[in-house]
This record gives sequence, C-alpha cells and structure tokens, in this order.
Amino acid sequence: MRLLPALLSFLLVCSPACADGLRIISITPSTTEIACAIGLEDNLVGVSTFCDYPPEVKEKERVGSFSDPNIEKIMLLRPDIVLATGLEQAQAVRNMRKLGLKVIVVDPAGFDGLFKSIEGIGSACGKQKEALDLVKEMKDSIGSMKKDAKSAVPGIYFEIWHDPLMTAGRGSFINEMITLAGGRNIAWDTPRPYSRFSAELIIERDPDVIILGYMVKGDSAVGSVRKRAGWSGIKAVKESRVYDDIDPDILFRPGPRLIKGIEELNKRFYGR
Amino acid sequence: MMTQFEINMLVSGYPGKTVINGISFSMRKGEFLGIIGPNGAGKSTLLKTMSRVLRPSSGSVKMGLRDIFSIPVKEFARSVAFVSSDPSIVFPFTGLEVIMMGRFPYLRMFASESRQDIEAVSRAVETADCAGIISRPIDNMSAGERQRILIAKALAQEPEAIILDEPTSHLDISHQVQVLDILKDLSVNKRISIIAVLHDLNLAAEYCDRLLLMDDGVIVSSGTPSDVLDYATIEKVYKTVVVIRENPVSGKPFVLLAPGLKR
Amino acid sequence: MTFTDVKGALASKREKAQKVFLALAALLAVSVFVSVLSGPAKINFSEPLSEITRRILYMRLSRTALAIIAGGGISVSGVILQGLLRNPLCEPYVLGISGGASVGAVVSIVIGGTWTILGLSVLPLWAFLGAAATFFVVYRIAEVNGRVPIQNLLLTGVIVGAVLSSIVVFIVSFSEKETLHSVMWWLLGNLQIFDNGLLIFVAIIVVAGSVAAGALSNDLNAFSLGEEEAVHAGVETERMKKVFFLIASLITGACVSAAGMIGFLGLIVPHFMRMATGHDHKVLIPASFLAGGIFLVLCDTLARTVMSPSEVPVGVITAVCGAPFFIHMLRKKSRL
Repeated sequence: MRLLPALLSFLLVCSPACADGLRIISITPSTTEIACAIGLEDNLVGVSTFCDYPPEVKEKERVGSFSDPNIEKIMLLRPDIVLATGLEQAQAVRNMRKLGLKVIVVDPAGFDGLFKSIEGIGSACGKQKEALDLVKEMKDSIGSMKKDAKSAVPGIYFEIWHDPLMTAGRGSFINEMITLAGGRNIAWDTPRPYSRFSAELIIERDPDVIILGYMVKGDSAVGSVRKRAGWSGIKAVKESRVYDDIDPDILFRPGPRLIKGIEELNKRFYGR
Repeated sequence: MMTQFEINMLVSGYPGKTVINGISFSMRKGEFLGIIGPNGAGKSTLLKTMSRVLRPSSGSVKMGLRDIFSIPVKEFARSVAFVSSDPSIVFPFTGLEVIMMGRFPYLRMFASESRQDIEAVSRAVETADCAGIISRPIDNMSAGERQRILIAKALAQEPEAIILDEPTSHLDISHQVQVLDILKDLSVNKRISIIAVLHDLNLAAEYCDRLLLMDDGVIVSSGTPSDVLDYATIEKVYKTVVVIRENPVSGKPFVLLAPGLKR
Repeated sequence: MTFTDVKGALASKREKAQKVFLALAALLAVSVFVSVLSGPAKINFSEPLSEITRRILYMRLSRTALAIIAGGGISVSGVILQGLLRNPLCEPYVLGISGGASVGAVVSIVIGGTWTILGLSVLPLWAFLGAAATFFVVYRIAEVNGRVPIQNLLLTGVIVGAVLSSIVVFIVSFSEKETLHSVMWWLLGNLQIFDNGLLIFVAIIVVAGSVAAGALSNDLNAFSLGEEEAVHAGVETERMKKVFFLIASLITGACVSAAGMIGFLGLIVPHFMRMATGHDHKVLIPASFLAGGIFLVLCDTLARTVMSPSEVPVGVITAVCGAPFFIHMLRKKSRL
C-alpha cells in the first residue's frame, strides 16, 4: 500500500511540463481546432484519437476516442482545463467534474453560440485578445461572402446520409451555413435539426443543388444519386449539380474552419 | 402366416448410451403384441428404433425382407404408423386437421385432398369413433378424445402396423377399454399388427396375443400372457411382491399387488 | 355418413379460408390505395398529373410495393420458423439471421462505399450475405452427429444472435460517431427504395421463398406436431429442416437488406392469422403474407405522414402499433 503514493509522485514527476504552465486537454476535434486557432497549441497536453487538425496535433498524447475518453489517462496528464462537448460526452464530463477537473463544455447550436464558445475558451485560457480577433476575422469573412444579386436564391438539399435519407434542417449549423452561403435549404421545416426527410418532398421542392455530406466517403455517391428511381427529373440532377467533394470536417466541426465550409458551399451554389 | 417384423440382435440407444442391447423377436401380421417391463427397461427406445426415429448401432429391423432403413421414408409411413402417448400440443389444430396429417405420405405438393384421402379419413374417423369431435381444436379435448384422434390419424395412414407408446396411460378405465377395444378390433378384423407398450399388466394380459417382458435392455420373457405373467418372473423384474390369479370371465391371468410386503 | 361429415367439415374450412382471403385481398387493395394517396407532398387529382406528381406517385408505388413484399416476407418467415421450431413466439430476429444481416450492413458502412455490384448497391448485398452466412454458421454449430436437434437450433440461433449484436456494437464503437449514426438509422428500418434492381431482387426471393414454403406446407404441418411426429408421418426431417431454415433465412436476409430491421411484424401477424384461420399452414402461409403486407403498408403510411416532412422509422411504428394490440389479445385470450 505504501507503494501507491510513491508511484503516483513518480508519475507526476515524469509528466511532461509545458512552457507557460497551463495544461489543456481537448477531447473533441472542434475544440482542438479552436484552441490551436487562438494560439493554445503548445498548451495542449492531450487530444482525442479523432483530433486530426491542425496536422501537428497528431503528435500529441491520445486520451481515448471521442465517445469514450479514458479518464485515468486524463487524470495522469494533470490538466488544468479539459475542453469537451455535450451529448455523447455528457457522462464523461460528469465523471471528470466529480473527480475535481475543470471542464469547459462547448456545444454551440449556431454561429452566435460558436463565437461565444471561442471567446469563452479564450478568457478561460488567458487568450482573450486572440479569441476576439478570431471571432472578428470569422465575422468579416461571412460578411464578405459573394452573393449573386441578379439570380434567384438557389434551393439546396443537403444530404447527410442516403439510407434512410437524412438531412439537416431547421436549427442546424448546416441550415445556417446554407443561408450564409446564399442558399435556401429546402428542408427548412423539419421538426429536429437532423432528421429523416421525405423523398417525395425533395422531388416536389425540386432543389437546384444537392450537397452530399456523407461522413463515410464512397466512390460513386453522385452516380448513385443520379440512378435513384424517380430522381432523374430533379433540377440538380438534370443540371449535374450534385456535389460530394466538400471535406465533411469543414461542414460539421463547429470550429473556425466552418468559414471555409461556407465558402465552399457558396462556390457550389453560385458556380465555381 | 406372414411375418410383419423381424428384429435381429438389435442394439440401439443414444449417443454414448446403449439402451437396448441385443434384442431379437419376430411378429406375425395381425398380431397384437404387448411390450411390458419396468421404467427404463428400453421399451420406448425399442419403439423409436422400430419406427425409424433412432438408428440402431447394430442389428436390424426388417419388414418382409427389407431393412426398414432402406425403405423410403414416405413408403415406410404408408405401412407403419405411430401413436405417441400424449404429444405436447403447441398449435391447437382441429381434430380433422390432425387426422388429415395422417394422409401426408399419400399427398403430393400443392395437391388438395382427393376423394381417396377423404374416404380414408372418414373410415379412420368411424373406426376410432370420433366423428363428433373432429371440428374441435385438440387442446379443447379430454385425454381420451385426443387419444382417439391420434389413433384416427394413424389409421388414416392406412398402415399394416401401428406402434403405440402407452396408449392408455392418461385414460380412465372406460376410455382404456374403449381404446384397446378399437385396437383389438383392428388386429382381429383388419389384420393390422399392433405393437403397444402397456404399463397396466392386466390390460396387457386381457388384450395382447403375446407379451414381451423387457428389463435392462433385453427380453426377459416372451410368449402368451399366461406364460409371461408368472409371479416369480414378475417379482424379479419389477422387484415387487405380486399374486397372480385367473380372470374368471376371460380366463386370462391378472396381477394383484401385495402392498407392504418386501421381497 | 361420416364421409359427408368429413367432406362437410373440409368444405366449411375451405369456405372460411376463402372468406379470410377475400377480406385480406380487399383490405390490401384499400391499404395500397390509402398509401399511394397519402404523403407529405400534396397531390391535386382534379388537374392532369404533372411530371413531378407522376414521379412522386411512382416513388410511393415502389415504396408500397416494398412494404407488401417485406411485410409479407417477414411474416411468412415467422410462420415457417414458428412451425419448424414449434414455438409460437419465434420470429426471424430471434434466430440470429437478422443479426447476421446487420453485421453485413455495418461492415459495408464502415468500410465505406456507395459503389455497386451488378447494378445492386453494395450495402443490401452485404446484409443479404451476412444473413445467409449466419444461416450456415448456426446450422453447423447446432449439428450433432449429422443431425440438427430443434432445441440446438433455437439455442444456437439465440447465442449467435447475441454474439452478432455485440460484434455490431464492437465495430460501431471503434468507428467515428457519424458512422455509428448511419448504422443506427439503417437498423431502424426504411422502406423508401430507389433501386428498382434491388426491389426486383428482393421480390423474387421473397415470392419464390413464400411459394416454396406454401408448397411444403404439409411438411410444416407435420413438423408443428413435433419432430418425431414428423418422422412418423413420413417427413425427411433432417433435409426439410435445412430447407425450411434456408428459406426463412433467404427471405429474412432479402427483406432486411432492403428495408432494415422491422421488428414485431414476424410475431404479431402470424399470431393474428392463427386466430383467424387456424394453424393449417396451407392457409396460414398465404394469409400471413397478405396480412403482413397490409400491416406494413399501413405502418409505413403512418411513418411518413405523422411527423411530416420528417419520417418516423417504420420499425418504431410496427412496435408501437403492434405491441399493445398483441398484449391486449393475449390478455383477452388468457381470461377466456
């Protein structure tokens, strides 16, 4: 039994130290991106196995997967702050808080929330100015998004998954991004942000552009949409405006790179 | 006189467990053969082997000159029917549906019942005296009614032999007599061979032309009821004290228990 | 005298079956009508049909067709397994077959790809192969000395099913959360079908399997009195067990591959048809096919209208509609 304190202090001594002292663990890819964007990259002592941007974070210590962070490993790294998200990580967050860790949960539902989250992380980690600068930069890019005043606002169908058909509707980030990119989401009336969607309504509402945002990439997603029985008459299909070439990470990760996502959407909506 | 079954040095049982161990006997066509013996003697195993449910590990069961396992299943079912004591009923078919299943070995795919099938079923229903109950589901029947339905099903197979495993075990005496009267009539008038495991030695003595007494997987004694129901043999096999007398009406032996006496 | 009795009893049974078939056929026609006419998109039939309307109706029709085929197929598969295993509480999902299908689907989703083989998209094919493979695995494990005791089959099916669902959980937990969602969505069932090739493939298997089961209904009758009874009646039990299990696996695999997992159907529909027609498989199999089709068509109509423009997984509807009805009937029956 006496070995235990000795072992613990040994481990503590061996843990890597950091430049200005603040030790941060980020267990979701989006908070990792935010942290790095406001200059906290060197303070990150641990990330999840899903964190892959910026590429340098792949060198960081891994503390388990997104849905199943390893609490013991997190404890051993003695973080001052843990960055996490809601929903899937709620249980892990509760457990870490019980163990006395300071956890910042970031779960924005839209861009206003995202800006607040960035500022929150900034002020908690002593990077207020960098955070405010980042938010301003993001707002500016959104404001300068090119919109074609002459042509009508194109109708967009954003497909998250094909079997069953899943789309992003009212209240989702994607919905806001479509609007900011100058499009009109044809699934504006779904009951939940992410939900199944009726195929016949897609035909009825006849979208100009279809964006396939599958997380799992296939070889011929666009081809299979064209081949769907009954879909050949949809405007987007007829005019070959079905796209699956946007990196899903810049569409789905609520971080600074969403701006890039909006830009990519904008390009697809209004011609490259 | 035609031989129905010829059993030769039969050894059979379950994987890892031999139950019957070298049994030989033969039976005539139209004979009423009773198999008696204590629990675990191998009576049911013998019946299962004779009805192709179990494959013997050695020895043979022959019908005529053919080993029964060389006969196509359907053809065999057209000559030998089986009545189990009281099969558990999961799906309450009607009596008629169950009896109709006796026509299975005669039916072809898709074909519905032919006039021949209906005639055979009608004769079976009449013989087994169950015309009044065929429309009822079998889970709504008394044990005696159900037994008659199962006998009718066996008869619908138009077999040359019927094998029965304790056909009277769940019945009261009036139904016991009714069922055994039917079987006796079949053996005498229709020349259908009857092989029945019977627990009640007195019923066995009354109805059977011949008895096989089994113990521990072998035949201990065989012959007419008077030959087999010898008090010394019965006491030895059943380990119970008995007194044997003659039924004053039929002249057949009957067995009385002597409770309290240790052998 | 008895001859006319028996003939009369058979005739009245036939008459009753005909009445049930007529009623089911009429109900099916009505439910198809209702299904094609309802949906989130408004259709104005007073005007000549526009191009878009025609395409929407076409999609509703193909969806309704899949509902009939999958509903009928799963119900028939339930009837077969119940009769074969002599257990009225059996359904295709008990025996690991659908577990195999979901492992196939999960593998296909995880390794990715929306590519096609012979014009069929690869996910249904994987699901179908998974179901078929499970059939062989379960059968081989249950086999003892060249025979497959029914109890072994049931037990092996349940165990293999449990193992397969933990494999699904294992694969899913080691993939990204979005993959997990796709798998969950798929498992909950979906009848919108875009692939006519797949629809035809499933229809051929389900119809061929159901016709084969109907042709062998005498064997199934004999089986449902017990395996030994079947031997005594002249059924080649070992061969027929394999045949029936294979038919049920193929039908289930095909249905799951196109429609996902739709629970309860294979239990409730045969149960009600047993009450309506009795247990003779000659009547029970076609009646269950029709009733399963009707039930799933109506459930799917609900699934795509109650939360329009979103859709409710049809498996949720079948469970929500089916379970209380089932419990009610069971209670009523036990009180009698």
